[in-house]
Amino acid sequence: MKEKVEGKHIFRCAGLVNEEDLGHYIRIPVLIDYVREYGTDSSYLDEQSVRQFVEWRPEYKNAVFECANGRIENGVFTPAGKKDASRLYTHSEVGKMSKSKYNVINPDDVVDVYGADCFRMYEMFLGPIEQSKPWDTKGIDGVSKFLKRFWALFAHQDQWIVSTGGHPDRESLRILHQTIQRVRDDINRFSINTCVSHFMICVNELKRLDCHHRDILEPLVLLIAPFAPHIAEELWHLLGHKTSVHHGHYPEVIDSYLISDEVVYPVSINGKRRAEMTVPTDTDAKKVEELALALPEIVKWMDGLHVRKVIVVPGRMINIVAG
Amino acid sequence: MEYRIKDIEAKWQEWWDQEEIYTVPSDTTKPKFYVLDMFPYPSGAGLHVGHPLGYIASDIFARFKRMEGYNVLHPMGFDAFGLPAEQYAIQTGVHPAESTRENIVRYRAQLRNLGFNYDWSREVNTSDPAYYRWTQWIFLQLYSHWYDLKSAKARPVNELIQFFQQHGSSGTMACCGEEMAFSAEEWKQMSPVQQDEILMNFRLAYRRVSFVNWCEALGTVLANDEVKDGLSERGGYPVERRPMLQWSLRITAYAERLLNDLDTLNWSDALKAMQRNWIGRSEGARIHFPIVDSDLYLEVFTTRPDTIFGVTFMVVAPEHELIDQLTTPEQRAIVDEYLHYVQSRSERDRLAEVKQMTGVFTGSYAKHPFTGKEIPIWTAEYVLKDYGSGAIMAVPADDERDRAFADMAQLPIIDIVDRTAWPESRREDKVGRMINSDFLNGLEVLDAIPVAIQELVDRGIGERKVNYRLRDALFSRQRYWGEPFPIVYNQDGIPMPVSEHDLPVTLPELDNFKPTSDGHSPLARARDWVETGGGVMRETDTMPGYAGSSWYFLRYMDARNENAFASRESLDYWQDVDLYIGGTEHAVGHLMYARFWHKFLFDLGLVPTKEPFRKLINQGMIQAS
Repeated sequence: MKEKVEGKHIFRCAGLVNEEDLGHYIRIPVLIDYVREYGTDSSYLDEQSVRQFVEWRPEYKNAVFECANGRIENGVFTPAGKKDASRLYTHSEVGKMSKSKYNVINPDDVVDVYGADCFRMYEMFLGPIEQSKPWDTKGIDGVSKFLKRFWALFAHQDQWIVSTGGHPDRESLRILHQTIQRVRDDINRFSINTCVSHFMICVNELKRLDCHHRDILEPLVLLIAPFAPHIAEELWHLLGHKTSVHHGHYPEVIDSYLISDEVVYPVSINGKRRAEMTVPTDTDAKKVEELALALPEIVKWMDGLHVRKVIVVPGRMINIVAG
Repeated sequence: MEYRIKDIEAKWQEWWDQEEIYTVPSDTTKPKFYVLDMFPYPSGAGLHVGHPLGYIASDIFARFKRMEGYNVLHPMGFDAFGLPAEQYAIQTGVHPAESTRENIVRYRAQLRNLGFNYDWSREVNTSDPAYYRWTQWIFLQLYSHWYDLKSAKARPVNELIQFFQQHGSSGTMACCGEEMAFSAEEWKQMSPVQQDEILMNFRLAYRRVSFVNWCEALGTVLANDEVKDGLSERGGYPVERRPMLQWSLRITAYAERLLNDLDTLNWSDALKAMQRNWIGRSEGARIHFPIVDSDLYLEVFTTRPDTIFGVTFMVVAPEHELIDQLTTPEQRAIVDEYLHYVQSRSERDRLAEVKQMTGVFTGSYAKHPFTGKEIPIWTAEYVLKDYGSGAIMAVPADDERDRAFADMAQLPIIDIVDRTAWPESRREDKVGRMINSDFLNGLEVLDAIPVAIQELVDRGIGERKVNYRLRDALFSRQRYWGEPFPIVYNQDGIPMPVSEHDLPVTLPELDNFKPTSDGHSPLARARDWVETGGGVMRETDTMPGYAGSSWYFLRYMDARNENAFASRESLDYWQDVDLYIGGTEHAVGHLMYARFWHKFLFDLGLVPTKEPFRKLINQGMIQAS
């Protein structure tokens, strides 16, 4: 807040201004870089940030800054009472980012910390492209970790761990092709935020399966290339290619891989999940029931209970009604 | 083998540049795909985290399409003319070209830093003379064409001149400012100045006196969407209405096509609705009210001719061309005082205040075309000159603002629609039964409208008419940092196009970028530039911000062409933009002007498609938190 008295600019801390006197003042925007605790209710400028502000707007170099606890004149802080750090409280305006409000967040600074691939995927991950959303960096670490996990499928410390021998297992192939299908569908619908989640799920699954097979990872590099072009190019060249990954062909779905030959059943007792079991997809319901009741965890939980009924939803779940 | 992000990203950005992997080959055997971002204004603040949202999405999509086997055009450029650079120049003395150049360098580096796959060899910069040469060229085409309603397309003004020489004005069906009638003989007798005035009435780029939003503090005229609540959007300075001789573009000629062709586009319904609303088509009647003791008529447009029996007074806009003749000597002082007051009011103020109606009686009366009753004619700020005919028949029983005005001025009210069967209804619902309305009595509103129109037509009192809210676009700015007009004025003040071979008309060097105090552009200071010899003077206004952005998507197709804005082959191959991504702030301004220019170029056979942007996605905003 500012008012002009006898030709001198006086800046008054937001906390010192009454609502009804607002007409005497104008709000002066400040670059957020100078503001301490920006975005909180108690955001403020201290002695140093006032100096930065004056450097930025030299027309105010002779101004007086009245703080909550004293005044700053010619860059020197005179406390009103006991020696204390100066605090000129500011108002944080939440809303559209614009040049006139000086609350611009520079993407370069974000890229500097996390890299361009991470910034790209994080902005997409924030939500549907058509939607307006607040900028917050809370989730960016998650995306950053995801990219590191993706890298870790290829290399561990100094070691290149991509395997080439034999064939990848069917489950890894299923995960790859399911991801190809989902990403292709969603990219065509401009649902880019969900593409990012498909990649995250895929990488988690492959990590769980300890899959490092080239036949899985190479298509995955092509698949992620539009989203994270730098890491994709690096891995593509580490895989031995000489031309750009961005001139490669986008992976196609092979439908036959989409069908899983194993199915994972959660096993519950009276609706409470107690165990999990993996069986071949073509196992019939009777056999599934038998296998479930024979699981060591289930045997343990069933101690002292009597099986009333076993409900098997093929391909989905098993519930044992007991009493 | 660690994931060294910084090294990896820098290395590949370097390699992509070196290997030119994003240069779009002229490989026309592949199917094309054109992905476009709305290009940024290179401001001093640089990119913020909100900008890249759309850029990242389009970058991903462009890369995906390329890997699917398409030849993908994904360019980037800069909408580089604009007020901020000029204001910065006024404050610091740094030439706008210089600050713009620096800002572009910074933007390019920031965009590169995000790993985008633009083909920079096609970069456009609207402030580059090699680019704005073609903006000026398109302006000259607009200047030298008129809109023929019979063939529903733009045609050369030369054809019109030939026609006038042979037949006079009879038989022309043109989109024009004022309708006028003259014979071939009369045409031939006219002076060049008079002929020029007539032709101005037809040209798609033309000069007229318009009431403009004049901002004293910025020293310029602002477009309606640059004014918010009577203040300039930039800076928040007061804005007043002022008459000035300005260039305008006759976008209204294309209103119907701009409206109908929306159906062919893969845009969101919300966006289409905004465009439809802006165009604002309404069907109704034009009615002539004879003025008592005069041979003048007052012409009004109404979408509700069925309410004509409820007319108890008329209102003309304070800027109406008949205001002087309507004002009687007894009322002169009070009307003059009122007109003076209105001058200080922005359009928005004038429309906003329903509660505080103002207006004065002109002293004249009109004759009701059916009842013959005498109706007082008032002038009031709530009627605008540029909408419809600038005069209204007021029906206080059935219009909220007319009602408020009648209450203020204590004018009579005649009920004409009985809505007792529709207790919750409003006027816009067009429901109820006609009363106190002679031959319309007993009819439902919706049935009464066509009956009323037919009766007006049969009695020669009026005609059927489609009206649009869309208005011609003001095209003059009193600024330095914009495209100069390729127009000079001869000794008689008649505008003449600069020869195509002399394009571009480049901006003169200046060191004072402030507008002159009498409202002229800073270009007026460059005397040597303005006076081209023999009393021929250059136009000193410049084009508005939307000039360069109205066709830039075509330039990317063949960005370095020196003989045309783009070659026929490149236009035939790239056709149109398959995917356009940008913010909703351009929903009506830029997108409407770009569609208009594109349709005009289509009429001239210069582009192969009727619409420029097939699919459009509006990205949301990233807000500070």
